[in-house]
Amino acid sequence: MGEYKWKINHLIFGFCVGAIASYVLLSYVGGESAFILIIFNFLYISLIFPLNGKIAAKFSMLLIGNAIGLLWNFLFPLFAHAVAYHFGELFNVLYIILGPFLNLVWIVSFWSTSLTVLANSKNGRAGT
Amino acid sequence: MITEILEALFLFLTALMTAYLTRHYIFTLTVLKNSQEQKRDITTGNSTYQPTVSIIIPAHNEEKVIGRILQRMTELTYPKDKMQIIVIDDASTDNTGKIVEDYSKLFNYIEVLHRSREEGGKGKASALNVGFKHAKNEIIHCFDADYYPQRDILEKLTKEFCDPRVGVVQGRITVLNEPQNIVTRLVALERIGGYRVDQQARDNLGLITQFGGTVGGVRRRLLERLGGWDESILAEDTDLTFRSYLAGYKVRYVHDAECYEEAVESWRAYWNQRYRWAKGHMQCAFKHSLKVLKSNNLRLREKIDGLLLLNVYFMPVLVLCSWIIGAPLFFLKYSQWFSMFWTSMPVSLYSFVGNFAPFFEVGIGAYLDGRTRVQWLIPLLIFTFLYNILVCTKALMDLIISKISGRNCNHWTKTAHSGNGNSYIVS
Amino acid sequence: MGMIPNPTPTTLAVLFLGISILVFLMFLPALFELKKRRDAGPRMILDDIPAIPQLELALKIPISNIEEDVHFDYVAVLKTVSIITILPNLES
Repeated sequence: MGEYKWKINHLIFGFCVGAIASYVLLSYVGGESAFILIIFNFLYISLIFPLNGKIAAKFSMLLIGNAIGLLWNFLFPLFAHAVAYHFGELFNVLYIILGPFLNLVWIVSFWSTSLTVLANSKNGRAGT
Repeated sequence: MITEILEALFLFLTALMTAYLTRHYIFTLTVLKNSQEQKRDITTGNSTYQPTVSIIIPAHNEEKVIGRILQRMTELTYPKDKMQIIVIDDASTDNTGKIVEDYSKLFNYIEVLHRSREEGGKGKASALNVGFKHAKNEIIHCFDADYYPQRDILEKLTKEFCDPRVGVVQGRITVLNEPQNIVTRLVALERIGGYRVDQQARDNLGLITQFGGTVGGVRRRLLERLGGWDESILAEDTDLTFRSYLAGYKVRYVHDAECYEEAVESWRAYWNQRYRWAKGHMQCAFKHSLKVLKSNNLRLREKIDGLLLLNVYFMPVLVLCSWIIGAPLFFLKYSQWFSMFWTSMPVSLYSFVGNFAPFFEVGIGAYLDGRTRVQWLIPLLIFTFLYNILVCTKALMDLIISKISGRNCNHWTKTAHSGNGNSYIVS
Repeated sequence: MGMIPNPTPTTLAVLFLGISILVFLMFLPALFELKKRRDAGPRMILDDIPAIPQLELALKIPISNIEEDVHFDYVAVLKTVSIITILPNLES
């Protein structure tokens, strides 16, 4: 215990990036996709950026996370629309129920894996 | 009209879930902030304070583990002339009684109380009360039979009683048989989130810290004042927590006082254990919610946190309700704001996965513990949460049915211990 | 997000494959860890371990290796180290 230090400067940088990202998402993406990505960015920045690790690594992972989120929120609605087109509007129910649920799975999975990357990073390890 | 009612209900449920999400988020930030200030190294209490202690160990058919804890008790560093260990052989049909008898013959501070099949087997609270009647000392500690504590755990727990406002103390629990299978690994994750972050934060923020019924102690005079454990409640530990707070005492969480436990190893055992916890917790919610609201001994933040804690086992049921309400509402009355709430609902859902520690509490807890790979299992906690929805729904239905029918619903399903944890102790 | 106006069955199949791969990737770290545990195992409760520098090395070694079913006896290592520490330096 004792190797962890709150990286306040990383946090401030992260929130600035998050603010810009939110503006871009709301302006160019919009809808539920933007909303879920803003949630992801908020949780990621506030809980990952203060931890030990290089700012470049955190920023890169944030970008990758946003890319995954954008890809998911691009593909899944397309898929749902295609399924509804071929099999009927009832499948929209599955999309409505599963969509937010599966969104959270990628957020949790990516966030958890990022913790591992940081915990193993050269610049510092969490203490006991 | 129906749409408006459903909408209002959905809004209310989302607000509740957001409240829990916010609460757990604040807990996570609190622990992160306090960890970097190394608050853990600031000792509270007086470590030279060593009152007499009585340790109660209830045991029903624990032949595979009872020897381990009793051996460990003999290795504790607390002065033996200030210790009294009372093992309640609660109507065991295996060799539990014999093993404890052998120990009691070797060590004069170990006593065994045998309960027959007629008088025993009525649950942990009943066994604890029997032990309490025979306890002679100032502080009463409780340990479950499958536990394996630190050698100096009593010093760490007991020193907190220096503060006269402290009525109960609780130590940290770590899963011993974590590598056993997927069930034990997920339970270990829950424990990490629940103790390393949730309990720690509640203690740091001066909220309602929960006594877990084991690896903890209570003042004798408080217990006498409260009349012992309530045998009508399945979650006697939660009940004691709230009765202590309502009586004007505090519960302290002592992070350094650590103990291993043997986690459940099958989904069936997981169900039985969580069913008992859910039902007992719900009983406490019915019993204490109004008292917490009206109490003059609790500050506003303790009341808010107390109500959230008391009602946490209802949340999986309410999540199910919000799904049932939200899905048709999405089609009946689609709007942008509704769509946003619907999208964000799973965030709150993940706010109480597992044993109601959200994914970020578990992850940060593991990080602070220096773990580097166990976080990869966190996405699997969603399945335990879905399982818990079934558990809590069944518990609530059974409770309501028993209230209506007047039947006694307090059937204690004991958690069986295999003793597999023994192989993980390096000696 | 723009939708494909008339998605063909091939489009549907490709999209299904893409979604499946993404979902699989989401759970891949968990599956990896389940299949081949690399985690250090249960948190070690620091009990009566003496404070010596070599402790840090011993603590990095997991308590047990599930694959090889080996339980590393770190206590034996520490006892050996503590004995070596107090032995006189015979070379001086």
